[in-house]
Amino acid sequence: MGNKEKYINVWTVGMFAFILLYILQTTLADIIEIGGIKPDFMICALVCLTMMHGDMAGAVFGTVCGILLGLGTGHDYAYTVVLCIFGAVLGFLSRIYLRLSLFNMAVVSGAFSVLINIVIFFFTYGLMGQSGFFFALWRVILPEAVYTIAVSPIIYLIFFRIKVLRPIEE
Amino acid sequence: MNFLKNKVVIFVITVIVICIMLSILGNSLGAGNPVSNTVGIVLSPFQKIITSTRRGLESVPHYFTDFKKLETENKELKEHLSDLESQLRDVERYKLENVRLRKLLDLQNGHPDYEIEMAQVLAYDPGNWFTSFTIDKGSLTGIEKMDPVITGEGIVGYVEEVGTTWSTVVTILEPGVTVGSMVSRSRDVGILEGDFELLEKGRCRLSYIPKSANIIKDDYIETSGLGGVYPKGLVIGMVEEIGLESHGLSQYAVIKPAADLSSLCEVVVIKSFSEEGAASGQ
Repeated sequence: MGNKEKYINVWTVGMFAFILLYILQTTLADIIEIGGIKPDFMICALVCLTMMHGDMAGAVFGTVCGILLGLGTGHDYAYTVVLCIFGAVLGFLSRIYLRLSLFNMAVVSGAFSVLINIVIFFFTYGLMGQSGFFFALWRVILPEAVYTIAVSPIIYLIFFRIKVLRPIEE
Repeated sequence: MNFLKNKVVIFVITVIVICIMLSILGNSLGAGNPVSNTVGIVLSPFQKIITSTRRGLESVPHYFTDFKKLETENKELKEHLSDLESQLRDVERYKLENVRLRKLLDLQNGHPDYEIEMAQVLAYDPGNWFTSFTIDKGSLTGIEKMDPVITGEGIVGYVEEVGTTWSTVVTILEPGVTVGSMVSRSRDVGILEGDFELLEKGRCRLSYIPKSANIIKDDYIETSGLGGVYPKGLVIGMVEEIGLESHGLSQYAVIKPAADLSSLCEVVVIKSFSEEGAASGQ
């Protein structure tokens, strides 16, 4: 398989993975809710693919992820822009500082989840003058991050299994 | 400005610009995000399928828990139904008892000269032929031998034996028992007596009816008061069949007793009655 085909494979599988995870996230994830908190599988997928394939993958997949996560929230543009930027930055940082491993991916997924949720809180509630950030941090943001870390190995192993976490030689 | 040559930066900036433009355009036109809208349209059927499937699967364990609940509820309802059926049986019993007691009350009201004692049937004849039974009243309540026994429908028999708290009653079906009788309509007299051949059918025989007597089927037969055992005018039964005696001098009739002698529960013992009532029939 040539590099071009590998790229197509990664992009196609990645896109389908996000769509599938989005559908599962919106239909079945509440089955595994703990204390009203469910993990964010899409963040795991985004981190995973971005750490493997760099800033461009981060920006594109971040945009897809943002469009999907923003669906029906009324903040679809904000989600798209934020996740596109964060994906690109994470890809850039990963290229320089972070090597993809299960541990790194899990920790970054948690951190990414916290960061995204803080931004979401700021844009959706903070700008409207709503207080209660620490309550949200304690009751939503941190539990979700922990739960996302806990499930991130599943996504990692699935992606590893379907061979989208193999480096593509430039 | 070297970073602007980076493809990623260009992509990010493009996304930002598109988003801003769409946002401004959307706000000015009052339309939503076309990208989100399209993605939503494409994905919603899949979400619907999965959610429907999930709900279908979720209903499976509910089926079992509901089944348990329904089983318990069914058991409770069955018990409730059983209670209600029991109550209904009681009501039916009370209703029949009420009818019987009403008839007895009417009997008492119609014959103020009667001194009556109500009694329950305790036991039936141990033999195969139901001709006598035991009641729960005896000499303590003033019952005496040969007292007539009746129900609201008609006469039953008489007291043959008296104990302190019990008495034995012989029915009019018993062979050898005789009752002075007459046809209600024509006032023709006869003698009612038990008959072995008719005993099995629960019938008795009215004999010694004059050949010239006016008696037809379905005539009512009542006590004549002759003999002094039974008061005059008590219903005995109805004529079912009429025939000529073998010697040809008189008629006989097969009588169906008015009282159902095969299922007696309560009877009335007439402890005393006006002699006039009996005598007037003589």
